[in-house]
Amino acid sequence: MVSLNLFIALGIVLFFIGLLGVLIRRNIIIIMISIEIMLNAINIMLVAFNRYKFIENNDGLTYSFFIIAVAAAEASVGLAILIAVYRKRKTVFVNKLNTMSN
Amino acid sequence: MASYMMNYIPELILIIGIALMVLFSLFIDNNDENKERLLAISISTMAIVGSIFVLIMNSNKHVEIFSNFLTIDPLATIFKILFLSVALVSVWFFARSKETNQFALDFYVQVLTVLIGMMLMASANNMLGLYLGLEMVSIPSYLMTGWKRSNNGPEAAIKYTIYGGAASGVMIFGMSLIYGLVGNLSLSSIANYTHFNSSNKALWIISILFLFAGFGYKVAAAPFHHWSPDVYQGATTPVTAFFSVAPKAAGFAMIIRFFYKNTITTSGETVTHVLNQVPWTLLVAIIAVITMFIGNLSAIKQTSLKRMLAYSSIAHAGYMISVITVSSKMAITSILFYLVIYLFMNIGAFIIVSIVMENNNGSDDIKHFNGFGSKNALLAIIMAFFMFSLMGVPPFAGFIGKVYLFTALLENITAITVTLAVIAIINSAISVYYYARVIKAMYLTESTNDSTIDTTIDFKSILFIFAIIIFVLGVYWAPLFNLLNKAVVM
Repeated sequence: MVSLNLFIALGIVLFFIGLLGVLIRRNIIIIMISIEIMLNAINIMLVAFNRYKFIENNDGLTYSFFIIAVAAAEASVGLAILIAVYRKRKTVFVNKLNTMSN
Repeated sequence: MASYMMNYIPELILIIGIALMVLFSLFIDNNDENKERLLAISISTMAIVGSIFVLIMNSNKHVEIFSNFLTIDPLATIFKILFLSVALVSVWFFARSKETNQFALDFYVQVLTVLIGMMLMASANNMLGLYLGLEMVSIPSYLMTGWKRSNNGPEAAIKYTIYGGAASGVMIFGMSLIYGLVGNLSLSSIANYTHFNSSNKALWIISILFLFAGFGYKVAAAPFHHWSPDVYQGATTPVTAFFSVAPKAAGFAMIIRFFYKNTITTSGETVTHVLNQVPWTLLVAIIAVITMFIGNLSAIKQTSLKRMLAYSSIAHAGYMISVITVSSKMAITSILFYLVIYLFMNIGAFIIVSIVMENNNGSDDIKHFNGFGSKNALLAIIMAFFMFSLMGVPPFAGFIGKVYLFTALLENITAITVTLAVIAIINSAISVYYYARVIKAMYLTESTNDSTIDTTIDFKSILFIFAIIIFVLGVYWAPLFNLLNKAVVM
C-alpha cells in the first residue's frame, strides 16, 4: 500500500502550486482554476488522513464533501461576477482592474 | 422536541423569511416595484425582529445541539443579537438609499443568507461549522458588493471573490493539518489534545499561521486586508456600512470560539486559551501591530472618505486583535463592548457619508465636506460626534471602549502586552490626524460650491438616536458592560 506521506506530499505540493498560481497569474480564469487546485489538494489531504490515521470516524470525508459543494458555489458566483466585469471593462486581467487605488 | 427546536428557531425564522420572499415574488408583476419593495422590506424586517425576540427569550440557554455541532450559549446569543441589530438598521438603510437605481428583491434574500452564515459562525463548535459559516457569509457578500452596476461595483466584487476564495482555501489547509494532528474536527477535542500533548509545536504554529489567513481576511487584519479598501469603495454605502460591522463581528466571534475555552477551577469559572502549550501569542501580536500601523498610516493619505473609513476599520480591528493575546474573561468582554460601540459610531458615519454623496452626485471626496458646518449644523455636529468617538476622545463612547481594551491588555503584564498597549496608544494618536481632517473640512474650510446638504426626517432621527447613544454610553456605560460581562459564559 502507498504510504500516507506520499499522499500528504502530493497534497502540499498541489496546494502550493495553486497558491503560486493565485499569486502570480494575471488572468482571472486561471486564478479561479488555481483556487480549485488548492481546494482539491486539501481534499486529498483530508481523505488520506481519514483513511490512514483516523479510520474510526468519517470527519475528513464529510469535510471534503462540503468543500466540493462550497467550491462549486464559489466558482458559479465568481464566473457570474466575471461576466459582469467583462461587460463593463472588456478585460479579464487583474492588472487592468486598478481604477480605484489612489 | 419543541424545547429542542427552540434552540435553532432564530435561524429557522430567517430561512422561512427567505423562502416566503422567493415564493411571493413569483406572484408579483415584475414591473410593480412598489409592491416588491413593500414585500421585501416587511418580510425581512419581520424575520429579523422575530429572530431577535426569540433569542432574547432564550438568552440563558446553554446547550449543545446536533451532536455537538453547534453551541447555544449566552456568548453566541449576544453575538447573534448584535448581527441582527446591524441587519435591522441596514435593511432600512438599503431601502432608503438612492444609490441603486433599480430595486431588487433578491438583494434582501442575500442579506438574510449572510445573517444565517454569521449566526452559524458565532455558535459553531466544529471546524466544519466555522468554514461553512465563513463561506455562507462570503458568497452572498460577493454578490452584494457587485450589486451596483457602476464602474467600480463589479471590479470590487471580483477582487473580493478571488481574495475570499484564496484566503478561505489557505484557512482550510491549516484546518486539514490540525485534523491530521487531532483526528477530529470538533473544537473541544482540539482543546483536549493540546491540554495533554505538547509535541509538534512547529506544526501547530504553521497551522495557526494558515488559519489566520481566513480569520484575518474576515476581520480585515493586516497582511490579509487588501480586499477591504476596494470593496468598501466599490460597494454602495449601505452595503459598506453593513460589511464594516457585521462580518467583522462574526470574524471575532469565530476567533473567540477557536482560541478560548471555559475552565472550571477551584476558584470558580475562568476563561483561558485553548492552545496554551503552543506559543502562538507572539504571532497574533505581530499581526495586531502590522494591522494597526497599516490601517492608520494608509488612512492618512486617502481623499475618498469611504476608503479612509475602510482603513480606519482595519485599524480598529487591530486594536481588538491585540486583546486576543490575553487569556481572560475581561478580554472577551472588552472586545464585545468595543464591537457594540463600533456599531453605532461606524454605521452612523457611513449614513452621513451617504447623505453627503447623495447631494454631490455620488462622489465621496473629502472636499464635499467643506463648509458642511454652515450648510447643515445638525448633521455636521452629529458627524463630529462620530469622528470624536472613533478617535477615542472623552466623553464619547469610543473612549470608554478603548479604555476597556487597554485595561484587558494590561491585566497581566508581560513584555508582549505592554508593547501592544504602547503601540495601540501611539496608533490612537496617529488616528486623530485623519479624523480631525474631516472636522477641519466641516468647520474651518470654506465651501467651494453653494450646494445644500439636507435629508429626510427618518435619516435625521436615526442619526440623532445614534449620537445620543454614543454620548450616553460615554458617560453611563456600566449597565451595558455588566450585561456583556454576564454573557461571556461559554
